[in-house]
Amino acid sequence: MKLKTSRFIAVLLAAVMLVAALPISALAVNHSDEFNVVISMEGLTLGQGFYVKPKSYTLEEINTLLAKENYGPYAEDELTAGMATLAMLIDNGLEYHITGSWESDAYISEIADIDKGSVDIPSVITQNGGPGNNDHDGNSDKWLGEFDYSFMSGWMITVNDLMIPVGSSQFGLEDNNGSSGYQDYGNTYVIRWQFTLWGYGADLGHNNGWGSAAYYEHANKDMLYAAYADSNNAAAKASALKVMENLTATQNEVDAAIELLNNTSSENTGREAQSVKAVLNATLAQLAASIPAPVFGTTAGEWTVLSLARGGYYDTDSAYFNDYYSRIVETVQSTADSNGALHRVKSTENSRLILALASIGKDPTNVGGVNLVTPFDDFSWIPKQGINGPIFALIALDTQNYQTTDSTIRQQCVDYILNKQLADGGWALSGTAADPDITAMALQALVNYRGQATVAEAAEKGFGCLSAMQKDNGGFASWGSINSESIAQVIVACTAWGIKPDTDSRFVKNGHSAVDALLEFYIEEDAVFCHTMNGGSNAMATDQAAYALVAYDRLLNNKNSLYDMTDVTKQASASKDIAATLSLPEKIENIDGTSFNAIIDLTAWDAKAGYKLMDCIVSVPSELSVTDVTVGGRVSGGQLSYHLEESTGKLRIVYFDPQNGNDIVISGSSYPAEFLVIGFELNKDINIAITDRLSVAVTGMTLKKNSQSDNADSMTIVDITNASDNVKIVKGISYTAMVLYTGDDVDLISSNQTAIAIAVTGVNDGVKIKFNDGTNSIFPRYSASISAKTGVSTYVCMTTSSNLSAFAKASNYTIYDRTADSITFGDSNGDDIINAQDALASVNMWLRKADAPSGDEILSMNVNSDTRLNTFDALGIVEYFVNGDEFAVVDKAATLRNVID
Amino acid sequence: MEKNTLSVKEENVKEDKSSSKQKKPLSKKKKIAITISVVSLAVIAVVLIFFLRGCSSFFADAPSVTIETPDKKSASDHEQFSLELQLSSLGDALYPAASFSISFDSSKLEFLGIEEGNVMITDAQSVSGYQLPEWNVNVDYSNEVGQINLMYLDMTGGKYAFTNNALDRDGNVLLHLLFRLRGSARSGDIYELSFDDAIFAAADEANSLASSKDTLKTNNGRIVIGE
Repeated sequence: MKLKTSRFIAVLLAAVMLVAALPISALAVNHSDEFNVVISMEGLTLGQGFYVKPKSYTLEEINTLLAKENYGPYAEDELTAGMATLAMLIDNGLEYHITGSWESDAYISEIADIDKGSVDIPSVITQNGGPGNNDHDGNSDKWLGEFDYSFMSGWMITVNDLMIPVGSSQFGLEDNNGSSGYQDYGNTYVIRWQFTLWGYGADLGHNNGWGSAAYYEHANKDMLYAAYADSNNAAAKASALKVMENLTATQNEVDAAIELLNNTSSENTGREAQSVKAVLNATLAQLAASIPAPVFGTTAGEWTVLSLARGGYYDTDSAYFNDYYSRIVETVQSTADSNGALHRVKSTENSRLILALASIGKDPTNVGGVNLVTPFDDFSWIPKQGINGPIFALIALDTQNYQTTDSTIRQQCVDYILNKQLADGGWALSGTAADPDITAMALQALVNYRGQATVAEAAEKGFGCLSAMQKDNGGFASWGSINSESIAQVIVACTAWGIKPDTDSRFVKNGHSAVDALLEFYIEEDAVFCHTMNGGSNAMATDQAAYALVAYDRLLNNKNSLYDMTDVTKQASASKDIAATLSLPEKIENIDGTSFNAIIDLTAWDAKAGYKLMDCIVSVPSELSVTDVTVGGRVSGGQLSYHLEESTGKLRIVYFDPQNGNDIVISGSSYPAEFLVIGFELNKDINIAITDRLSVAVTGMTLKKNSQSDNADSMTIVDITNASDNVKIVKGISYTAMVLYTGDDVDLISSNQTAIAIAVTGVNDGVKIKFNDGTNSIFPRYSASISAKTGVSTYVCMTTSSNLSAFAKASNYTIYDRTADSITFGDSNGDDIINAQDALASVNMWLRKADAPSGDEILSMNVNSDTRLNTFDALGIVEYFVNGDEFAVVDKAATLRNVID
Repeated sequence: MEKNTLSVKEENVKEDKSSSKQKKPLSKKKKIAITISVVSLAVIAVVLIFFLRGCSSFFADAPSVTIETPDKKSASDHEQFSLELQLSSLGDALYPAASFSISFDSSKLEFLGIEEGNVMITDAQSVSGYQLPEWNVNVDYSNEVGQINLMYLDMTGGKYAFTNNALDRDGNVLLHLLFRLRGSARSGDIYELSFDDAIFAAADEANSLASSKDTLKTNNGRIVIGE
C-alpha cells in the first residue's frame, strides 16, 4: 500500500510541478488508492512541535483501534473525522476530555501529558497582539486545551486543509468532498489537530470566519504530512520535519520537502549529501540538547565536543565550549600528576582531551597551568595501554602540531604502529586477525607520515584489509557483530586520507557504501545511533557516528579533515587569575520602569599586562532595557561604548581609548573590584505567574593587549564561570535580608551582634522603615552607597536577636512616610566627611582608647565587614580615601552573599 | 586675649553706671584718665605676650596650611615643577593622623607625586626623636578624579604623631606636590589648587585641627600661565 501511495504522491508532485503556477488547490487530484487517513496533533503555535507526528491509518486499522472501545466498524462513507481522531488517540494512548460524544458532536477540549512545558511562541503571533514567551497565561495542570496559555486557545481541526465548521464527529470524510476549501486527495484524507493560541485559528493561517483574518498565508502541508507518514527514509524525514514544524513555512519550502521525501526512498543505495547533512544536523542538535554540559570523559565529553566543534554546531568561542573548558580546567588541576598525565597508564586520557581542546581552539599546553603535552615526552608511558596509546598520541599531537621536547617521540609512535601491523595488513588490539576499528584508527594516525615509504606501503595494505573486511551491506563487524562504531572509524580513516567512503569502489559493496551502512543505524525518532542494528540508542555509537558524519561532510566540502585542526582559531587560555562575577539584586518589583543595577566585579587584575581594550557580551532578557553602562569608580583609561541588540538580547560593551590607546587601569589593590555597572529597567509590567525570575549572564569577556588576533598572548579570556545571576520578580513591596557579619568576641564586636542588610523593593528610595518582630524594634539606617550600587533601596542595622529569620518576614516591617536616618560607611564621627579623623577613630577604637562602640558605630566603622573592628578597618578607610577603593561592606551587601530565608 | 580685656572694660562701665545712682558722676578728665590707663595696661599685656609666646603664633589666629603659588609658568614649559604644602603651626595636641584633599584640573595639570618636606613626626626610637612621615597618595587615581588625597595615619595612635615640637620655625613644609603642565595648558589660564578638606586629627576630636570646623585654615594655590 505504501509503495502505491508513494507512487501516487510522486505522480501528484509531478503534476504539481507542471502546474506550479497554479494555486495549491491544483494538488487536488482523484485517485483510486486504498482509503487511508493521515492524522497528526501539533503544537506549533507554542513552539512545541508535534505531539503526534503524522501517521497513516487504513480503514481496517482504524476500525481495529475503535473496536477496543466498542465503536464501529465503519465503512469509508461512514467514517467521520471524529472517529478517525479517536482511533489516533487510542493508538497513542492519550488521555482526553471532550465535549459532546464521539458519535455525534465531539470536540476535543484537552489532552493530558503532552504539554512540553517550555514554549517558544512564533513571532508572527506576538506581532499580531498575541502573548510572548514571557507574558502568556501559562498552563497550570497536565491538560493542554482550551484557555491554556491564553483565553483564545484551544484545539482546532483541519481536514484536507479545511478548518471544519462543525464538530469533528459531524464531519464525514467522504461526504464532505467538494466542500468549499476542502482539498481532494482522492482516498487520502489528512486530519491535523492544531493548538491555536491566539486569534481562534488566525495564528494557524486560517480565516476563522469570526472576524479574525489569517495572520499569514498558510502553506498546505497535507501532502507533506502524507509523504512523511509514508516515508521510511530517516534522513529525509528529519529534514522534512523541520519544515513541518515551521508554522509559517512557505509553500515552496513544503514542496521541496515533499520532493526530497519522494526522491529518497529507503531502497536508494546512493546517499544524497543533502540527506546525510540532515542526519548530521539532527544528530548534532540532539547531542547539544541532550548533553548541555559536557565534562571530561569518554561519553558526554570530549567526543561530543569534538563533533559539535568540528561540525560547526557551536562557535569555538561559544559559552557552551567556554563552560566546558572551565570544567576541564578544574578537572585537570585536580587530576593531573606533576607531569601533566591524567592517568597512570592510559595516555589516551591526555590524547582525547587534547583532541577536544584543539577542536575548540584551547591551548592544551596550558590548561589552568597544566601542560597536557609534557607527559608524551616519556615514550614508555604512551603504549602502556597497548596500540591505542601511540595511535591517539599521534592523532592528538598532530591536530595542531604540538611539540614534544623529545623530537623522536612521533617517529617512535609511527614505528610502534608499523611494527604492530598484522600479516593481513590490518591492526588489532591483540591476536593475529585485523580489527576494523583499530585498523581504521591506525590509518588515521599515520596519515601525516604518508611521505615515509614504509607508511605509504602500510597504509595501502591497511586500506586493502579494510576493504576486504567490508560486509555486503557496506558495514563492518568487530567482535562478531556489525556495528556502527566500526563503520564510523572506517569513514574517519577514509576521509583523513581523502578517500570518499560513499563512492570509492573499495568501500562500496553491492551498491552499499560505508556511509549507507552507517545511516542504517540511525534512529530518526530520537536523532541518535545504535551500536548494533535495532539495538537501541547508544551514546558512544552516537558520538562516533556524529564525528564520522562530520568527517564525511568536511570531505565533501573540501575542509580540513576531522583531526587536522590547523584551521581552528586558537583561543587564549581563560585566565583563572582574572574572573568576573555578576550580581543582581535578590528581588525587584514587577512594574514597568523598575530600575536596578547589575554589578560586574573582577576578582583580580594584571596591571603589568598592558590591556588596551575590554570587550564583553551580556545576555539580557527581553523584559529589560539597558538604561546605562558605566565603569567602576576605580577603572580608568578608556571610553565606554555599548549597544543592546534587541533581537538577540545581546548587550555588547567595549572599553578602550580610541585616541591615545591608553592602558586600562584599575587603581588600588583590593579585589574584587567593581568593573562595570549596567543599569537595567523593566520595559513592561511582568506577570509573575508566568515570569518570576529574570537572568542576566556575561557570555564572554576578553582583555586585549593588541590587535594580533592570531596570537594567543594578545588576549586574556576572563573566566566568566560565575558571571551570571538572576533576579526574582515580585509584586509590590518585598524585603530581602542578609547577614553582613556577626562578631566573634575578639575585637569590639560581640558574638551576639549581627549586622543585617535589608533590600526593599516597591518603596520610595530612602523612606523610613521599622523592623519589629515583637521582641526587637529597630529603625534600620538607609545606605545610599549600597542602594546606588544595586539600584534597590537598602538599609542596614545591628541586632542582638538570635531570631534572624524574622528579618526575612515582610510582616515584621512598617514603612513610614518620612526619610530614614542614613549611614555613611567609614564616617565614624558622622560629619559627612571621611578623612584622617575617621581612620584615627578606628585605630583608637582598636587600641581601646575610646569607649566600646555602639551598634551604629560598629556599622559605620567596620568597613571591611569582617567579624572585628580593628586596624584593617583603619586601613580600609585609608585605601578608600587615597585610592577610591570601595568599602568591602558595600560590595558584600550589594552582592547578597548570605540571604536569610 | 584682647577680646577678654575689652569685656572686662565693658563690665566695669556697667558697674560704674549702676553705682552712679549713689555716687557723683565722674568728671570728664577722670574718664579720660581711666580710659588711657586701661588702654595702656592692654598694650603692655600685648607686648608681654608677644615676647613670651613668639610673634608668629600670636598673629596666627588658627594654624593654616598653604599651597604655594609659584611664579607664572609658560604654557610651553612641560618640565616638572614643585609646589610646597606649607604648615603654619600646630596646636598643643599630638596629631597621629592627617589628611588633605586638594582639587586640581587634571586636564591641564598632571600630578606626578610628592616629595618629602621638613615637618616631622615623633619617633622615640630615632636618634633625633623624630622622623619624616610617610604619606599615602595614589598618583593615578589623583589624576583620574582631579583630586589629590593625601593621608598620614599612625597605626599606634600617637607614637608617631605630628607635634608642635617638631616644627621648624624657619618654615614648615609638609611635603612638595609635583606637577607638570599638560599640552592643553594655554597662556592666560589660571589653575586653582583648592583644598576640599584638611585635617590634623587628634585622638580627642575636640583637639583636632580641621578645615571643616575652621580650626585649620587653608590657603589655596594657583598656577598662572603667562604669555
